[in-house]
Amino acid sequence: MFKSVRQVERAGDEWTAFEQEALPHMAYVFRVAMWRARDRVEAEDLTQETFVQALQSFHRYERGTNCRAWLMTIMHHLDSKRRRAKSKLQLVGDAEERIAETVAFEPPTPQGVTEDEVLRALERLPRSYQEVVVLADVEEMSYKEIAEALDAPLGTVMSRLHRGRKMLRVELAGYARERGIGGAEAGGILPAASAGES
Amino acid sequence: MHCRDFRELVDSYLSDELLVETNHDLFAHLESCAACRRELAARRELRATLKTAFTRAVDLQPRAEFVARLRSELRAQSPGAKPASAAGRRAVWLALAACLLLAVGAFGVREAWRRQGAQSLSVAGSHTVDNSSPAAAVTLAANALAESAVSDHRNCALTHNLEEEPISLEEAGERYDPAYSDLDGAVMAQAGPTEPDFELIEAHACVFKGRLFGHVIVKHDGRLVSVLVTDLAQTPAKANAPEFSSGRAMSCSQLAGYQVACFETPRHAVFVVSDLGEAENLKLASSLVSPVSAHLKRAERRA
Repeated sequence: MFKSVRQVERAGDEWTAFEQEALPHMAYVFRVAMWRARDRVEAEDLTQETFVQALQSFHRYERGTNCRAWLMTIMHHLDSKRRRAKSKLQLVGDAEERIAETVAFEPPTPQGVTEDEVLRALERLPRSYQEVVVLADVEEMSYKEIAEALDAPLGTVMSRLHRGRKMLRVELAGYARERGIGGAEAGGILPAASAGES
Repeated sequence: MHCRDFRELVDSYLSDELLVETNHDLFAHLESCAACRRELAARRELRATLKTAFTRAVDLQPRAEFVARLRSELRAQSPGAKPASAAGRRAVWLALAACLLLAVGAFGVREAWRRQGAQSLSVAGSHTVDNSSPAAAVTLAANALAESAVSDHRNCALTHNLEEEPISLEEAGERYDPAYSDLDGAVMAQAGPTEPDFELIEAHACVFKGRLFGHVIVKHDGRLVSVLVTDLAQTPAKANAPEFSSGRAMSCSQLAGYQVACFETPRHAVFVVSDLGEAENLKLASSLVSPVSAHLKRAERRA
């Protein structure tokens, strides 16, 4: 119950460090949690659990490293545990891999797509692909950090990212065609297959 | 490098994941390939759009109330706000002191009031504390003690919402306990004559939940701070309590946004309550230990 001056100062320092390093990422963590859960209550629970766990483990956080990646690692572990508890099987992963493998042709990246279209296209990707795309291209985590956060081999992360980005472009190319928007090679440039590859 | 290679690598380039040598190869290809320059621009634009879409999507934003609540809960759970684990002797002391305060609650007020008449100030009676289960009582009692201190600070110093009118420290010193006389002088002594950031606002004796407090209110760092002194000597339970290590202030609780730090002399307990930060409040309490303890001990020797 009682704390000495030194104890208070030490505890205060730790809170200050947590406040400065971890709390600024709360909105990021929530967004990813919301994207994963698709349910606000569940996302808030997951975000709360993540930060409570982070606070308890903050002495293990290595100062100066990517705190957001560290928080994502915690969130992923908590979320995986929850999903296991709900008996959601990982068989989906195999199906997703097969879907991803079927995307062979890659059209030029469309330009002028709207934010809404990008989000809708992202939603149409298999979930495991959405996740890596969000972590890499939105949250700007490195491939290595993503691999650590998701507890997955680096090669798996890289291949999922490659395929996920490709699927996203294919989806968007569909929207762009519907709206008559050109790709990177619109405006009289030859299609990709015969664009004069050097 | 071929266009096909470029398209395979361009996303990793944008993620800054390529080796420097590979980057050079990409640049060399870009110089001679307009289609790939457009592709690079398109991928960069797509990534920017994705990021903006994600960070601006209303559905993905946390509610302000949620952020505020979580932040507050984390602060409350932080090591700085947690009770220390092993503080056996002090915890027991605190439990006993708190039990005393609880025991002299409404019943004590009523009895004292009856004895002294309606015009006098009601003070704590001396009722036996049931401490047959001190361990179980520690948390509840400690919380109750902190709550009492915070409540008195809030009701007396901040909102002037007391059921009974306070009396002067001198009157309380003559009628109840000489330690209250010139308590404000002892508190102000810590600041010295040149301390600009320590201003006496008010000093009196007041009763909260049946307990008489010598109450000195000061302004420090723009905040109101209560220094509350109460007499513990009348309780039989004190005789059974292990001696509390006096001579330094300890941060003992945080409640409703207020910090409570405390220290003691053989017969008195002193609480410092404010909405300063925990470290700042404790620092202030520490600076009060020497002058206030000396003042109280002198009074205790005279009594």
